[in-house]
Order: sequence, then C-alpha cells, then structure tokens
Amino acid sequence: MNKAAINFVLNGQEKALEVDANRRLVDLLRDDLGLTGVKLGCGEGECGACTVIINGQTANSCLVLAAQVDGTEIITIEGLGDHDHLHPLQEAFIEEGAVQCGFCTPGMILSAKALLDHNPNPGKAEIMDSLSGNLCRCTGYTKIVNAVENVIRQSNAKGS
Amino acid sequence: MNTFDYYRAATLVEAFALMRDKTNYTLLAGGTDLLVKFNEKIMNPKIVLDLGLIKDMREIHFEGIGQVTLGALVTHTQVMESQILQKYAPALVKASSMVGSPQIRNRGTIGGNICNASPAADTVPALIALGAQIELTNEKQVRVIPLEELFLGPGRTVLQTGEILTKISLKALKPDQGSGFEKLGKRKALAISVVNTGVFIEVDSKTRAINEARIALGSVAPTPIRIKKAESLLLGKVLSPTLLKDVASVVASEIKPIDDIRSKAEYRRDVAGELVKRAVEEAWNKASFLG
Amino acid sequence: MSVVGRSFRRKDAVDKVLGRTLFSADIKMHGMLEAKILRSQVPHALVKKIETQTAQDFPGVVAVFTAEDIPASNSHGIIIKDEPVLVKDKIRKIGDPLALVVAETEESASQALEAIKVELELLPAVFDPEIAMKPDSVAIYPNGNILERRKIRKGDVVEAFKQAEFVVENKYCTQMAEHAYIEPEAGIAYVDGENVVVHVSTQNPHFDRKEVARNLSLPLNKVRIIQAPTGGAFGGKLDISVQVLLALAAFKTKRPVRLVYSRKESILASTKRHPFVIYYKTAADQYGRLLGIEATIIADGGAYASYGPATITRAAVHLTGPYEVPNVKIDAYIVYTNNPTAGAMRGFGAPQAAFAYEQQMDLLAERVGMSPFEIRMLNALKNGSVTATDQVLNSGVGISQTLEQAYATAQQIIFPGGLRP
Repeated sequence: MNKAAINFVLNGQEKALEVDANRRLVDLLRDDLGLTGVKLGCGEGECGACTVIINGQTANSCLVLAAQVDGTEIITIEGLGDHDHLHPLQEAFIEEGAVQCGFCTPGMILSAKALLDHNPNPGKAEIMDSLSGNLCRCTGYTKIVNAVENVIRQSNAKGS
Repeated sequence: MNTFDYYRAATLVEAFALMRDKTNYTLLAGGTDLLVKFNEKIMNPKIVLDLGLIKDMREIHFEGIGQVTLGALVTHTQVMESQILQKYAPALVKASSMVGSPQIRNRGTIGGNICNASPAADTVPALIALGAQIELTNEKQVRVIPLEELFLGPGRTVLQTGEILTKISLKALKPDQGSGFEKLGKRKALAISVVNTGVFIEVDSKTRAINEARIALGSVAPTPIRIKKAESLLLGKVLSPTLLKDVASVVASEIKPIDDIRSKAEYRRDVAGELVKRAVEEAWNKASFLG
Repeated sequence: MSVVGRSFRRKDAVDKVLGRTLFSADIKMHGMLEAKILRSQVPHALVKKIETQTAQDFPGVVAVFTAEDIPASNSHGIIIKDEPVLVKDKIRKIGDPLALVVAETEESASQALEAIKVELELLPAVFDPEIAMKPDSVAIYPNGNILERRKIRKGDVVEAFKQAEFVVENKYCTQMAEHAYIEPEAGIAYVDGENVVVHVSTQNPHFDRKEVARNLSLPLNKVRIIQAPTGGAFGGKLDISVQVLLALAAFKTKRPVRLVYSRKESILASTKRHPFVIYYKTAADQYGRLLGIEATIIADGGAYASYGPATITRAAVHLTGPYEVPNVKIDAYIVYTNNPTAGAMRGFGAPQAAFAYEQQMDLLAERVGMSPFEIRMLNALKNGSVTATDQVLNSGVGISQTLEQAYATAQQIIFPGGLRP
C-alpha cells in the first residue's frame, strides 16, 4: 500500500501530512489529530455523527478517504468556538436545551452552520432538510430546530 | 478496510495513463457508496483511482442545441442547485434532491450513482425517462449508448476495463414536454428506494394528446427498467383518470419485483402503479400548462 | 427552592457543543491495547474446540482469552445469571462472544480474530417463541425454553364472558426493536494499584461493578466503574457489554485496554425490545362496560434472560390499560429462543400491552356503537378503582381528566368554529 501526501487547512491551520491510502478521514481526524469531537456512530453515512465541513459543504467523514481531502479546507466542531467564545449555534443549542446525550451534537451544529453560511435566512423546512442527515436518537429534534431558528431570529434582529 | 494503492488523476489523460495495463482497479468518484463497501470488505480493490480532481467532469452545460450535458462527477447538490437542470430536467433535480442526505448529496455524484448499478439508484429512472445518453470513454475512443443499455444486473454494467463514464447528455425539455419523479422510501431521508420512477411525456399543444412517453422504474427488477407497454398506452391519448388507472395496472403487471428487506413484491406492485400515476400527472401538468 | 420552575443550562452542555466531551471511545491512554471480540456467526451450536494459538502468535497480539481464562463465574445477568462472558460450550445466538483478542493495534486485533479456529457442532435453532414454548421444541436450555410465567387472576372470567353482550377477540404481534443509541458501546479499562478501573458507556455502573467483581473473583472494593458520558442508551446499556471483558483484559495484561463496538457489532450483540404475541379477548355488556378480559402474552426473550422476567410482569399488569376490569385472567410467558436477547427498552413491556388494549377498546367501541372517547370515559379508572392486581387506587387517578382535556383540545383543533359538540 502506498501513502498519499496531503495538504489541507484544518480549522484554519495548514496541515501537511502523509496518510495511508486506506485511511478514512474520520480516523485521521480522531486518532491521528485528536479531534474527537468528530464522532463515529455508524461508519456508513447513516447517522451523521462524523459530519465535518469540507469546502463549505457537509460530508460524512467516514465516507471520505483522507487522501481525498488534499487541497481542501475542513472545519470540525473544534474549529467553531471555545469556552470563552461560543459560536451562536453552540450558544443556542445550550440555551434551548437542544443537547441531550451529546453524541449527535457536533454533527448537528456543523450541518446547521453549513446551512446558515449558505443561506442566512432559511425556513423551517430547509432547516429540517439540512439536518436530515443527522440522527438524534434521544429524539430531541424539536429543540434542535428551535435552536437553529433562534440563531436566525437573533441575527435578523441584529441586522435590522 | 483492506490495503490498496491510491492514485489521483487531475485530468482524463492522466487517468487513462494510470489505468493502462491494469485490471484490478476501482474508480473512485464521491466515495459515498464505495467507502461503505471498502470498509465492510465487500469490495477489496488493489488500486483505487480517484477521479475527483478532473475538473471538466464536474460541470453542467447547456449546449445551445437543445442539449444539456453533465460531467459524470457532478454532485447531487450541484444538480439540485443548477438553474439549467431546474429548467430543462426537473425530474433529475427532484431525484437528486431525494438521494441520501445533504452530506451524501454533497459528495455523491451522478456518475457514481449510475456506475454503482444499484437497481434502486434514484437518479437513473429520472435520467432514463429524460432520454439520457452516456459517453463511455477509453484511451482511444468514445462510445455513446442509451443509459438504459448500461446495466446488466445489480452492480454489473457493460463498462469495460479501461473505460470511464465521462459524460451524460440529455435533450433539454421543451415547453410541450414535462417530466416527473416519485420515490417511496421507508423514511424521507437516508432511505434506499422501495420503488422509484421517472416519467417523461410530450403533449401535442393543440390536441393535448400525448405524442411521446417514457416511464422508467427502479427497485422493481435487477436493473432499472422501462415499461414500454405502459408508455404505448399513453400515446395518442389525452390524460384522464381512467387512462392513469390503466397505466398503473399495466405497470403493476409488467414489473417483476422481489421480496427483500425493504419491502415485499406485492407491496412494490401496488406502490409502483401509484407512483407512476403521480409521476405521469406531474409530467402532464408541467407539459400541458407550459404549452 | 430557588431552582424550582426555572430553566437552567445543563452543566455538561458546554463541553458537548464544543466537541470536548470525552466519550469512552475518545479516551487514549499511554500503552493502551485494543481489544476485539470473536462472535458466533451461527444461532445455536455446541462448541467443541477453540484454537487460539495461531492468533496468539500473530504480530502485535498480546493475549487471546477464552472461557478458560475467566477466573471465577463465567456468567452475568441482571435477574438470572445465564449469559456467558465468553461461551464455553454452547452458543445460543448469533453474536455470542467466543474469544477476546487484545493487541497493540485495532488492526492486529481484527486480523488475529480471523486466525482463531472454532470447531462447532451445529444444532437446530428456534426463532418463534410459540414454537419454542412447546414441550417438543428444540431445547435451548436443559429445563425447557419457558423462562418464566406470570399470572393474574381476578373474579370469574368464565362467568364474565357468559354475561357478555359483546366479545372482541384478536391476536396482536409486535416487532423486535433496536435502541440504536448513536454512540456504540465502548469502554477502556486499566489497573490502578490493586484496583481495576473500567471507564464505560453504561446505564448501570453498580451492577457492572458487581458482575466484574464476581467474574474476576475480586472483592467489590477492588473494582471501580466510572460511567463515561453515555451517548444514548434507552435501556440498551443496562446489561453487560464491554465491562467484564475489558476488566479481564486489563487485569491480565496489566495494561490499559480499549474496546469499541462497531455499529454492526452493537446491533448484533445488544439487547432488543421484546417482540410480543398477545392473544386478547375482551367481554363487555350492552352499554360497553368492560366485564372481563382473558389474555395470553408470549414474549420472545431471545437467547438470555436479561430483563425479560421483569418485562412480562410489567406487561401483564398493564394489559388491562387504564381501565377498570372486574374479571381478569392473564398469563404472560417469557420464552427463550435463538433470537437476539431482548432486554429493557423504554416502557419495558408496557408499550406492547398498550398496542393491544387500545386497539381492543377501539374495536369494542365500534361494535357497541360508541365513540372511542365515550367507551374510554365509561371504563376509565377513577379514584377508588381497584386494579387487576387488587390495588385500590385511593387518589391521584387522572385518566378521565386527561382524556377530557385531550378531547377538548382535539375539538378546538379539528373544529375551531365550535360546530361540533
């Protein structure tokens, strides 16, 4: 098996790595780079727990080879905020009680972020569609959608 | 996942050079189907050739001669957002919008959806209904075949060693033409189709009789299929509830679905008829009201 | 009282939205080994021999454990200790654990698994509890496949059916269900001085501790279970998953050991909601008042008991629903089959019962010519009602008020103009 040389920007930092040809992006992020906010829930693109943003679009990092991300820009949950500076979506998820077991939370927040980056004023149907690749088995969907709606409401209030 | 060598081609020429003299390679587009198979060791390639960087295979064009072309690496998200396709191939846009999830649609490609050769592939019945022709290219030549002739069985196609599906072309819909797509899955997202169907019709703007029709279904046979008997039933007639009912029952009797984990043959028969009915209505409404 | 009636931010939420919460699979320790379980691919068989030498010699492999390596009792279970930590002689379901490989990397462990040779004598299997409970069925256990029976007797059911104006009789079947918590089972164990510590995704740390101590023959105070942040459970993480095997591996190798299930393994190995078959017969008088019910529940317990005996108790006592029934005869059986083990899952037998009794009420209403609402109001439990198990409900019975409120709300939604009464 050969190795692939990859260069990419991860949460704003440039990375130059050599990866095994058969390494999945999720394993690269979690095991080699310690970004365990990327969760592995199913390994086949059904649950969305491993969602990351690649070049502005969400992807299941379990369905991407690490070698494929050469030249891309990747955002994981670790790139969104920190204790002192929560991203508005992170703040809204806490405030709305949209976090239960927390295993789906990073993926949910990233899917919501990709939506809002693309369309700052989506309707409820668009929010739900954008989250349709992320499962929450605690079934806290209502509060998750409320949290996203709150962010939109607040940013509209600020804008006007 | 077993080990393999990974190569990435930036151009088609590079891809063919890498493929030369090799047989045990797998072409990688978006990877949303293949990674599952690699990981489960259902597929164990020795060489993975990533086509993902070939830029001109990622484009959608309106050719100006009433023809729309899509590179095989166009993603479902690109299809959904394309104004060209929204206008000229709405059934395909609808089919792509119902594939998997946003994450899958962002990476999954039309070419991958086709070459995966799943009987349940959502874009395929839409593309067949829209009269898609595909280009199979090797180092020396290009052959063009109707999409429906690609499939031999689940996971099997006429694609030969050394060939790449490079391009899909469609005739852009005219105002007197319409298309429709319907899918039934167990859930709205991330559901492999129990049955799906794509429909194309052309309506005579004066008599309102149907001039041309194509009805394609997925998940009801080893490959996506056209139901020509149902198509010919529509020809020369104006759409009516009776005609729709007849079309539905012909569809139900012509298909040969099986029982599997997603559904029973009997249920598929019932649902196939109903879905075709809805897709024909959708196509009719678009055609006749535009015309 | 300053907190009552106010919303608070969850303490754990900040780390969770930041992706900083460490679930079991996120923890790495210095010198950590990875473990993988060899699982049965057949539902019913006798184990003749497990050959592990080849796997043991595999590069990177530190140890391979089988039933022989378990220091004390090779069994666990919340009610009945019938589930082996590692199968010694008999496989009872697909997914039964046969051996544990501990290696330097996950990959070595996985590859070594394939090098273990298992000799089996296949046995016919039984997947239908109604067949499994017959005396001539394939025997999964020496004393027959009926694990336990619960019965409720009240009044005179024979007389009730004689008096009945209406009788509704049906068979109800409910399906197996997987909890599918988003976080698959995972844990990491290590030895700390004289103690073995297991950091695990679980709902039941105290039970885990007792089982680890029993199986490893350790005093309780030498076993420490730490419940890691747990990514969903819904009853499915009440039983033993990785706890004992991890403790065993850490204890024997003296190194930290991690074990993380794949989704496939999680679905294969974990408990499910009990599938039920319910034969349900309801008697009512000419006004729709319930006179009696006669019912049999057959719960598919799968290969091991888990919470099955408790589940049928709950199902049996719930089978009359929130309705007053003067004459009751209920028999509930939990039956072993070669299916996946059924265990606790949200509601614990009560949802299956509700599916049956509420359908019966609707069908009865239709027969009597009443609305589904009226028949429920007529029969609903009240303060002072006596249940099927003779409990007097002295106070706090709110079903009638609840029904009335639900009815009024539904009316407002369906007929906002107030056209219908």
